[in-house]
Amino acid sequence: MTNPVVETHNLSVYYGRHRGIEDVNLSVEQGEVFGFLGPNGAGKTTTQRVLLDVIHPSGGQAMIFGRDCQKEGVDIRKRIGYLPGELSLYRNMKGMAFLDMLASLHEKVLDPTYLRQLFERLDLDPSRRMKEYSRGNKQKIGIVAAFMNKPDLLILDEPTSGLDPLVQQTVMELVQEVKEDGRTVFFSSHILPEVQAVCDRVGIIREGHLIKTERIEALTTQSFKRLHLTLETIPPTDAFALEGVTETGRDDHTIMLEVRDGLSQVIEVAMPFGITDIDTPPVTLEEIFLAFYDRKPNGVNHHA
Amino acid sequence: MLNLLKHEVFSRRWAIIGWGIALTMFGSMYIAIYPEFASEMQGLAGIAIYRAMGMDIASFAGFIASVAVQILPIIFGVYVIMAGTGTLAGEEENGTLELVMAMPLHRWKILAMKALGLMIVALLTLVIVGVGCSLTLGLVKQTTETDVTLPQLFVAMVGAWPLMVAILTMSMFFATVMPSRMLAVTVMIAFYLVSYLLQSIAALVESLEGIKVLSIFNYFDSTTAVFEEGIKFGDVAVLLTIAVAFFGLALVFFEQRNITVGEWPWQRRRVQA
Repeated sequence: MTNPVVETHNLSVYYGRHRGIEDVNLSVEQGEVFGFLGPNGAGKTTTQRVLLDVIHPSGGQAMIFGRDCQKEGVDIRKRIGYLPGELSLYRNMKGMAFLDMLASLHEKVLDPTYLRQLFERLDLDPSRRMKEYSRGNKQKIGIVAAFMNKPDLLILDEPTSGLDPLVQQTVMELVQEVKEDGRTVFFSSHILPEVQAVCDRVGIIREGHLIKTERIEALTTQSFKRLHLTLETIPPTDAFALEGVTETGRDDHTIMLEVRDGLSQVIEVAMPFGITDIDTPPVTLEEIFLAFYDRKPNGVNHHA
Repeated sequence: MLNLLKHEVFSRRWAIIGWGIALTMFGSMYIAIYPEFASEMQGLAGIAIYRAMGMDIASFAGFIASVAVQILPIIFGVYVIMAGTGTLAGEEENGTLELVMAMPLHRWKILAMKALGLMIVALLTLVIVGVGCSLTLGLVKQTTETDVTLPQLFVAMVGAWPLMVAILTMSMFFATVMPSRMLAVTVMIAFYLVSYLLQSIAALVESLEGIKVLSIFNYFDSTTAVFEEGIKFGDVAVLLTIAVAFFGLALVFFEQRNITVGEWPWQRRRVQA
């Protein structure tokens, strides 16, 4: 049984002749933290802007809470907290005045205790003018603005950009708390270890196409295995030139392999050279992400 | 929603004060010095360029109308163009509009609050200039005789507001259609200059008098008649009709605009399902 909070059906955006996104189909369940991955220009921000009706789609449909983002955008946005990737704030406004203005536009009364907690945890003084803030502090204002209304859905575009590692950690904790609260987070990031740490599922977008959506565990266990074989005799360089197997390096008697398919075949090939040790280092999301970009052909839309 | 309006006005408080004081000083300077040069001014009255600019410098009342009532609003109009394009295209380019668009507000409300905010800014500025120039006239009247009263000058100055509103909504319209603020400003300034040129040519060449209806300045009285007869409601009606029409068009284009993209309306592509 599914209860999607975010859904897109064949969502496409073109900028004149240029492709923004093309036939993106994705679904984010309630209570899920969904990571949206892709390099600059892949279409992450475009997708998020369509969800907020900042950009109108050229084709397809975007829905949040089961409602059309274009037709019922105002009601939908009452339940959304948004942090843009290129955050820009009114220079002469004080931090607190800005947050008050956004809260009033949301027609919500802020929980002062929660707001104070956010300031303390992010180590933010909201009494200063925007132009006096560093880049990191501006980002903190944006984070508070997104979280302060306790929205049902958070859309965060590179939330930890410009923050120091300690505050990055705090932001990830906040995301985790939103998840524990049963609320939903849809966020994009270039920092893959943090995506791996907090996300339930990820979607990988390349050149406007969603090429994979998968649970983090499945992605890191199923995509490929890394195998370090230590052998008594050094095999010829082409010994492991097998289908589904890539030799990534050699270190003395240790052969480093990435195995997508045919593990038993690898062992069969290795046996005559005398296996003295087998190590299977964990594969990180970063490596999988890079593998999608370097080694796979232009993928089709695997809608999970 | 009113907070957005408050922000639009409050964030321009220094512009209101700055423009108000600067224009007051500019106008007051000319009002104050006229008595010293009255006879020389009368000698210059026949020069064509003054006629082209619609300036009547032969009398003190004509001079006040030409400098304070005509020139000051024309200068202020440039600020209105910058603010009208800046509040949409400018904020879109610097990124502040995106966060506002992500709020639970209808687009028409955002546009309306921004337009209303700038209309208030323009009105407040003109009120400051009107009060300031009238006070200067009050001082000058102690030594120089003129039929122009302080309330007449104040009303004439504030009477430029419908012109500012029309210019504002036109600027906002171009900001919703053009891909960049720079382009919107360029088009509006070109329109402004051509409008002024048409008015000037019509004043100089009798056979071309008819073209003045094409100039937006034709619907703004900056002659001594404005002191004697007050603001012409027919002109106000024309300017407000222009304002309503361009606000409506701005609304249509703003509803369809892909914010943050910077594209022409015809570049939006719709693919068949």
